[in-house]
Amino acid sequence: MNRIIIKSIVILVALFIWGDSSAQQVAKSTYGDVLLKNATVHTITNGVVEGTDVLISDGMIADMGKGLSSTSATVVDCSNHHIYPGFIDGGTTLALSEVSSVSLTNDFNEIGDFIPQMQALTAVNPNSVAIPVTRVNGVTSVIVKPAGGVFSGTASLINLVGYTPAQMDAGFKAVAMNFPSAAKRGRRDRRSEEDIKKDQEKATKEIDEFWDKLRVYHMIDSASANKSNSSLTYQPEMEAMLPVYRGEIPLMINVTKDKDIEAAIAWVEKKNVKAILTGVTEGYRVADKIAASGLPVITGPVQAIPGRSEERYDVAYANAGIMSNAGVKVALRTNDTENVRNLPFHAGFAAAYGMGVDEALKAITINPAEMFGVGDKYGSIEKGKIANLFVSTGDPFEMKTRITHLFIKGWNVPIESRHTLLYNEFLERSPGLQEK
Amino acid sequence: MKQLFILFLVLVYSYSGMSQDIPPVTNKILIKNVSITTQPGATPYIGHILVEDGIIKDVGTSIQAPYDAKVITGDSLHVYAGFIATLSHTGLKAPKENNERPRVDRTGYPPNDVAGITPELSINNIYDQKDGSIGDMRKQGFTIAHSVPHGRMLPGMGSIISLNGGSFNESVIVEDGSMFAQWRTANRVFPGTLIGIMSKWRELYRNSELTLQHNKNYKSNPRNRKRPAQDAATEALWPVVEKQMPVFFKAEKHRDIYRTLQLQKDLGFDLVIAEAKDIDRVLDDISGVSDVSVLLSLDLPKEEKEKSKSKDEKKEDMKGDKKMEEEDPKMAMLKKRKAEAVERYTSQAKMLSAKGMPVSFSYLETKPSDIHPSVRRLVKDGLSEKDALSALTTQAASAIGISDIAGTIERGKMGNLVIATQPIFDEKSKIKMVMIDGHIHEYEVKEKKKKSASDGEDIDPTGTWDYTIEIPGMSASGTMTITKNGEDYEAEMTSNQNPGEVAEAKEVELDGSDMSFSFSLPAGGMDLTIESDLTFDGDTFEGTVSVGDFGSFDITGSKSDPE
Amino acid sequence: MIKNITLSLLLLCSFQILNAQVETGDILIKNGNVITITDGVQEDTDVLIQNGKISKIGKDLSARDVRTIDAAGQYVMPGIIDAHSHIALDVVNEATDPNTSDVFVGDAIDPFDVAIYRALAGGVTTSHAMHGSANAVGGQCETIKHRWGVSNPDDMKMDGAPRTIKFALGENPIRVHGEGNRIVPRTRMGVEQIFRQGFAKAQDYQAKWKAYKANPSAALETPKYDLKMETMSDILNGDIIIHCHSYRADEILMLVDVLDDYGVKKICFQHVNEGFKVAPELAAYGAGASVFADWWAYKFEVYYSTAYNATILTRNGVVTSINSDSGELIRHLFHEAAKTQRYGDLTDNEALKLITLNPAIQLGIQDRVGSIEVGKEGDIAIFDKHPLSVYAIPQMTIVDGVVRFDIENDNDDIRIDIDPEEKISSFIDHHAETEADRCMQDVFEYFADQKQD
Repeated sequence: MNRIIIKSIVILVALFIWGDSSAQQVAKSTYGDVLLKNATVHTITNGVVEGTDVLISDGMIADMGKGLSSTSATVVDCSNHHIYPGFIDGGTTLALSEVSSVSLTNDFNEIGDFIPQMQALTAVNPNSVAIPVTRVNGVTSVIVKPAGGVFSGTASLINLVGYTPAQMDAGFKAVAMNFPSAAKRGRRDRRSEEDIKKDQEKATKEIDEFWDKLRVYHMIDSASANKSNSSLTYQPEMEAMLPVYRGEIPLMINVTKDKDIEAAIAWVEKKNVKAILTGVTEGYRVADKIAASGLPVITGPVQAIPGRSEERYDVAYANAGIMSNAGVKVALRTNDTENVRNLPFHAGFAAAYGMGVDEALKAITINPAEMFGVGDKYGSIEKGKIANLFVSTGDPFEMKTRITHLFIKGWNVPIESRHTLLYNEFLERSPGLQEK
Repeated sequence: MKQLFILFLVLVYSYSGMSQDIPPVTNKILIKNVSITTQPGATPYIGHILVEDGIIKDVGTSIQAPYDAKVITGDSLHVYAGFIATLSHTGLKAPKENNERPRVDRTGYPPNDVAGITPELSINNIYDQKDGSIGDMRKQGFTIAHSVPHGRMLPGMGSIISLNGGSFNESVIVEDGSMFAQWRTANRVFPGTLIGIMSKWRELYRNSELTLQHNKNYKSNPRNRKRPAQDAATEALWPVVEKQMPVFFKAEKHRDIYRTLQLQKDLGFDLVIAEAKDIDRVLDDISGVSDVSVLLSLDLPKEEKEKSKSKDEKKEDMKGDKKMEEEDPKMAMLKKRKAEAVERYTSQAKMLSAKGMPVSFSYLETKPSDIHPSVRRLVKDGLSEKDALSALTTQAASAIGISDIAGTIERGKMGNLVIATQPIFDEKSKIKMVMIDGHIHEYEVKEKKKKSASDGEDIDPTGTWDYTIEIPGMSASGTMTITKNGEDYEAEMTSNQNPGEVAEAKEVELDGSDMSFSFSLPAGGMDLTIESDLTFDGDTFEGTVSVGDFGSFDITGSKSDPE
Repeated sequence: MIKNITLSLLLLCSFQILNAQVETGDILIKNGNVITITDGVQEDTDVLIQNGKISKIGKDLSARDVRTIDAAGQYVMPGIIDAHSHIALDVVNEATDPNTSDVFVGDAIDPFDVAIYRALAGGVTTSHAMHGSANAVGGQCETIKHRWGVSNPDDMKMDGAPRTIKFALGENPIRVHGEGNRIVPRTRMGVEQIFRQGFAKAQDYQAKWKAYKANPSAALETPKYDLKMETMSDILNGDIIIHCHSYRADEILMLVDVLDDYGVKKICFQHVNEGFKVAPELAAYGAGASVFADWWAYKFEVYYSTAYNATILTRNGVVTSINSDSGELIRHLFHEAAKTQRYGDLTDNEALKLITLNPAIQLGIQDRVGSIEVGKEGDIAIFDKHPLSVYAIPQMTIVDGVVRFDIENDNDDIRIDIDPEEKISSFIDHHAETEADRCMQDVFEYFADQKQD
């Protein structure tokens, strides 16, 4: 319905985004050895260590301990400052969309219901204006995830630094799935209860049929692995799903309503796939069942209204904590595009409403890293891990706190974004009210 | 599907053409030995009623039958004054709804007819004596109706008509006596929302006042004055502005009711709130104000199934049925709150009455066949039988200003009577005869077979059934297949006339041995809704099928594959 | 034939019906850290509310037969005010004309909207229930107090609050009318003309009525009553505060110019994402700015935004507030205000002013609410931690001295109105909603079948 605006706006967007916008370009990141001296280090995995040094070298946390020294490193005095591992957002469309109301800038929703072959990483715009805006709040890695349909495409974990998608790739992929739902899709969903049920049944049936084809495809593919001429016709959907079927990569199953969550758990058990539940809006209603299933959960946004009009006002705030306390491994997501920067504040709310600060920190660091199979590289401050970390004046969940230094893959990233540049230019505008 | 619709249409039209009464041979009718309730609250007694030339000539225990009177033996029957529909669309077809966006130059300034503002419309021109709703209302004992046009914000004026089946001129009692208004917006032009309706009312009303003043000025002295331009809408509102014509305002939920009161407060017209569903919140605010009245809706929410359980069963549940304890307490609370909400709606009449306010109903949203079940439900939930009868008779007459001629069984009033097999609020009561203007309309009373499996227990209606719809002079038959899908039932109908067409039912609901469902058939730009209510008894069922505004017909059926 | 239906028995005496009876209460809040906004933070201090008004602030206060609340260690601040919301409304947009100044959203108040309770649970006691942004000149708005529990919509209104009206610039009116209906405005040029035309016609209208009223009996004709022109006249007369949905710097300056030409002074810009670019001009005109803490980039006209907007505006002397425009954000405006300490360097008091005294000034109710001062209305929010901390949880919210939210007494099902015809419980996946509809409620239905090329 917006086609006309889109036509006119696309040209503008093209001009401004991908053209020269000299005045508002953030400074380059720099690379090299850095020694962060005398900081309070929140390792996540090994507690909080005070008065400690962290040495960043060759993109890695090369060393950590008291009284470190280095001849090559730039030394940064971090007295009275804190070091945290970079935060990880478990579900975003950052860099897949530039201006959400301008549909031609939206690259996360391809046509088709069964399209796992669609690669989010392909559509990541490394120059998205929202990337610097996001990372200066300490968010160093995000899941970029396609949406829509049943198997929406393949999500990727990316680091928020780099000039090409390949440079940003953090080495994790998962197929995004929308579990057939009995929920209304927003207030304007005019489908009757009957229609919703029918849609849900139809989707369930289609998934079963798809899965059956996948089973056969896998059998033939396995059987013909050592043969020179395979009889298998290449099918991109099936190819993309094979690693899921074989348990090599997980499904990220988006599911919201309590009953749907139970159904999804049963489905995962039946299909015996590796899975992460995402969304899980009503996880608090079935927390014990999720815990029993052993499935990890990525939930959020935390700042959200209840899905039912009668429900307590704070259920979305409390959801992560309730699941976590029940024994579920929980990570957080903003499910956002341009305001992924709010991830630490969502975590702060979750912390306040029952999760506690330590668990909330884990939910945006080590927990997602482990869920994504990259717990050995990301999610904590440990020697030998990739140097995704930041230095702050205090608790990064608190709004007052400043982030002073940011490192992603060892790159020393400037604390700059369009927002800070505009601030610098306009705080004291010149000329002010003068005629000229 | 379309074929099925056409079939219905053919049947319905042929039926309409047949509704021709043979003229009576005498103008005098004596009803003998009947239990008479002359007015609400009066003690019934066995007596006689003489009606002559359409007027009640005499009522009492010692009336001699004139030699030339037709005598009707009323033994074991019960007679009441003919019921009066205080507000309805009787005799008026719902116009075809066009959901396409109207073609107007500026959506903010559509022509009045597109905006739904036609206060000048009189039902005189659109009253259809063959419309099925007249017969349907009559069958429920209604003899007089205050009928208002369908439409949107200001559909037009209402007239009071006798349901004698004659032309408008033969039926009209009061012509253009009221203004009808509702909270129904225009289709994507102004007023497109209820705040638009509020604003339109304010502007229209003020301009009506101004044009009225200008017209008066011009009449008294036309010199040096611009000749008033004609404007149908503002002129039609003059009697409203001068408080000579009340506005019957359909306002169902409390927020619409408040808005209506707000308008009344701003503008000052005479107001009757109609089709009210939750007036009690307003009642709290107007406690102590004596002369307030409203017309309540009979479109009641569905009864919760658990309520249909007998008391004994409930007791058993209380005794410690494990199932009850296991139920999610949150869900139990929500169910309880919903049940309370249902009860609040069905207690409106009781609450109104408790505040000393007269109870009467409007009939804009209720199927005629649902009227008596709804009234009985209100009685069950605390409305006194006296108030209930008054709502149908004396209060209804008073609400539309015809107490002089209708509402009680009294000498000199219209010969409008309802004769029932049992006291009217008895569950088993059936209407056997309705007299309007001295003419008798008689109805076949079928003894309803006792419910077989019933007492709240759901029966199993699945299977294939042969059905016959009885329409005078013709009949339609076919098969109906009911299947169960999870907790829900699905139904499909085919017609023998067009075996290839299958109609899928919507909203299939089973309650005990009663099943209801509806079909929606698109035809000529409008959706025709066919609603069915069936009662199953073993391998047979019976019930009614109502076809939009065309009327309702009996349906019977039997299992085509009995076990 | 009887002429008209007589109504002797049915006349409604509605005059007593609609007189709003606002419930007020007495309450003593003991030993809190009282954030007065106008007189610093007073530690370990009591606040006494009597008959709905703040009667005393001080140490060791006492009062007989008054509910006493122990706020030791807690933070007591003025009830939060949201200068831009659409909660508690049955209708947001009458989108049928570029000028709908004749409609009032005050006619569409829904006192049972659970969003009211949820806002209370975020410490918000007053909100500005606004018409949407579909039209250049939108409908008139209503300042409401969150008296959760009343059933008369009139009881929600803040009696005596100045009249306000919604204006809108940029994409939304252009999309609805130019793109949708093919009428002016299809550009920002057209938007300007809607205002100029509206004001110029209102001047004619006023003149016509003035002449008529001078000598009605000699008048050639009676002028037509036009509610839009009435409203536009009232704006010209300074009786209505304009709250204008706006984003880009150029369109903001355009409206300032138009208003200057017609001598209209009362203006607060809403959203005003590029307000930071023209902050000196806004300050010079005395215009207010009510902004988002950090929303940007969801449409093209907010692509060049900065979350430092509130700080830049404040530092340039513009009366600035932070609003929600959302049933979600309204629940944590204290948190939104705190973001100005990440994006900028506002002091605690400056940050909290953005959600208390400043929005009150923008709504013209600063003499009644927005700070804790003797004589002001008893609207209070109590937090367990400093409200600018991410860990702060609202404990109690008081309106006119009546406790409307209490975390200790937060029922499982707080709904007041239950529709017996609806499902017992139904779940809505709000994340499946798009964000584009914030200010455009009711407009999408309007465009349901629209074809565009």
